[in-house]
Amino acid sequence: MRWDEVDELLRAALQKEVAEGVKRLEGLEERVIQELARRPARESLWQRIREFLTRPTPRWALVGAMAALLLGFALGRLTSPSPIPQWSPNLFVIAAPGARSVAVVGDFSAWQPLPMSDPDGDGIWTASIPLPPGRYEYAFLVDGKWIGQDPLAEEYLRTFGEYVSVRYVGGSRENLSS
Amino acid sequence: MPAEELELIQRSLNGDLEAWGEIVCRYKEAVFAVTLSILRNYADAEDATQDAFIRAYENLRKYDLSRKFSTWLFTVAANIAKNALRKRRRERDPPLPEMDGDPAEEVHTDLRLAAVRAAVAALPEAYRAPVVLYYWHGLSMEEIGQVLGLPVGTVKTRLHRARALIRAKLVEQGVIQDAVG
Amino acid sequence: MKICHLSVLFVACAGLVFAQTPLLLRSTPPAPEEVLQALEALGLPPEFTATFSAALLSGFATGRATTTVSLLLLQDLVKLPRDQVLECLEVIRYALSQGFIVDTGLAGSSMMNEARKFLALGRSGEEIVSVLRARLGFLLATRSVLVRSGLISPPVMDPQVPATSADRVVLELAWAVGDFILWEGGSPGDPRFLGYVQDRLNRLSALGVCPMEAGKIASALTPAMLAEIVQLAFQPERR
Repeated sequence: MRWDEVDELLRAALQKEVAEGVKRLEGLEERVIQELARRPARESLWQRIREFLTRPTPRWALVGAMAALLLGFALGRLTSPSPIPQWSPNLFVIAAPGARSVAVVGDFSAWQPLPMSDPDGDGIWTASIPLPPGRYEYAFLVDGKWIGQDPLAEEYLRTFGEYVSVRYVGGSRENLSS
Repeated sequence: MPAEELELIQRSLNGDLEAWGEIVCRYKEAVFAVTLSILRNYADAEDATQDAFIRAYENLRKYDLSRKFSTWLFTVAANIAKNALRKRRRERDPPLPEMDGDPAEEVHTDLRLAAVRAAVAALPEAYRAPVVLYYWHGLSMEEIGQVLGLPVGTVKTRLHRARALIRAKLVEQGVIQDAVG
Repeated sequence: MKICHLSVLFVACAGLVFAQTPLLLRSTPPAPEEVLQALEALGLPPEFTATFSAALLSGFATGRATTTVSLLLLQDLVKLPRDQVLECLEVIRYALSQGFIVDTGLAGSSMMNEARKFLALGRSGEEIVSVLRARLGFLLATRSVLVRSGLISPPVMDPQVPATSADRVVLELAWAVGDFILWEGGSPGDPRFLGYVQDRLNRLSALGVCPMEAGKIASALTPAMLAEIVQLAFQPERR
C-alpha cells in the first residue's frame, strides 16, 4: 500500500468525524448574532481616552499623575537603548507619513526600540546607527506596528508569520567583540 | 481575498451583525474542525466555535487585511480551544465521552475509517491539530505554523511523526499492508 | 480641570526622560553582578539560580555570553510564566555547559538575542522554548557532523576554556541550517539548501565575523552532511 492511501483514509476519516458533529452547528449564526447584540457596544481605546481627558476629576488626576510617573519610569527603562559599539555608521530609513512614533529594532539593539527621527516632517524617518561588521536582523515599529520588510534589506526571514529584514554590514576584517 | 468576502468584513467592522452572520455561516464548519481537533469533544468544540466567532468579531479591528482571513480566524479559534483545554484540565473534568460513533454501526459502514479515527484519537495531543489542519483544511505547513504558533519545521516534524504513528497502528491492526510507499 | 490632565502628561514625559537618562549615558556594558541580580529577581529555585549563575559567569569569562544581552533577556523574561522561564534558561544553561556560544552580543544572531526577538514580537513562552530547543538541536547536530567529518577537532568539554574560532563556525553554520529549515520552509532535500548555507558562511567569513576556516568548511559541505545535521537535530538519540 502506498502512502497516498493512508493520506486518503485520513482525509476521509476526518471528514466523517467533523460531518457527524456538524449538525450541532445549526443556528450558530443566530446564536452568535444574539450574543453580540446583547453585549454593550465596546468603546475604542481612543474614545475612552478622549472621554477621560474631557471629563476629569482632581482626585483621578492625582492618581493618574502618579501612575503616569511610574509608567514613564517603566517605559524609560524598557525603551532605553543599549550602548552601541562605535564602528562605521549605518543608516536605516523608512517612509511613514503621518506616523507619530517610529523606531528600529534589531540584533544591534537586542530588539529594544531605538527611536528614529523625522526632523523636517516629510514622513521619511531615519536613524544612523554605528554598527560593527556582521549580519543583522531588524524591523521597524511604526506607531507600535511591526514592519518587517525594509525595501533596502538584502534578505527577509519569515518567523511565526512576521517578517524580519536582514542586512550585512561592513567588509573589513576587524575582529568582533561584544 | 474575494471582493464579496472583503465587503462582508468591512460591513462587520461597521457593526453590521448580519454580515458577520454570513461569515459565521461560511466558516463555521471549518472553525468547528479546528476546535474539535484540539478539544476532542463535540459539545466543547461547539462552545469554542461560538466563542471563537464572538472573539473574532470583537477583535476584527486587529485583523490585518493583507493576511488570509481564514488563517487569522483559525488562529483565534485555536487559541480559544487551547485555553478551553487548559481550563478543562484544571477543573479535572471526568474523562471525555468517546467520540467515535456506535462501533456496531461502524462495522457495517467503514471499518477502515473507524480504525483511522481511533488512530487519530490516540495521537499525542500536540499532533492532532496539525493533522486536522493539513488533511481536513488543506492548509500549507506555513499556515499551520501560523495558526498553531509553531515553527514550520516543528509542524513538518509533527505531521511526519503523526503519519508514521497512524500508519504503524493501521498496519498492526491489519487495516493496511506493511509496505513502504 | 483639563489643566490637571495636562500636568499628567507633563509629569509622564518628565518621568520618561528622567528614567532614560542613566542608561543613555551608560557607555560600558553592565557588570556581571547586575546580571546576577536580575537573575535573582526572577525568583527561581535557589539551586537552579546557583547553577545558572555559574554557567553564565563562565560564559562571560570565555566569550560565550555577554552581560548586555543577558541582562536585557533576564529582565524581559518576567513577562513569561515561571515554568517557561525555567525551561528557557535550562536550554541556555545546557548549551553553555556543552561549550556552545549562546550570545554574540549586539552583533549577529544567537540563542539569547533570538529569545529577545520573539519576546519583542510578543510570542508565547511555549513558542520561545520550542525555538530554543530546536536551535540547541541544530548546534549539537552541527558540531557532531563537523567533528565526524574531520572538519573540526572534537570539542574540549570544559566551560572554562575560552570560545574558539571553531565554536563560532559551529554557531553560524547551525544558525544558517536552522534558519533554512525553521523559517525558510526548506526541507533537508531542498536543492537550494547547500547554496543558502555556503553563501551565509562565505559572507560572514568575508566580513571577518567568522574565521577564515569558515570558507573552507563551507566548500567542504555536501547536501548529505546538511541532511544529516537536520536529521540528527530532530533525533537526539542518534547524535
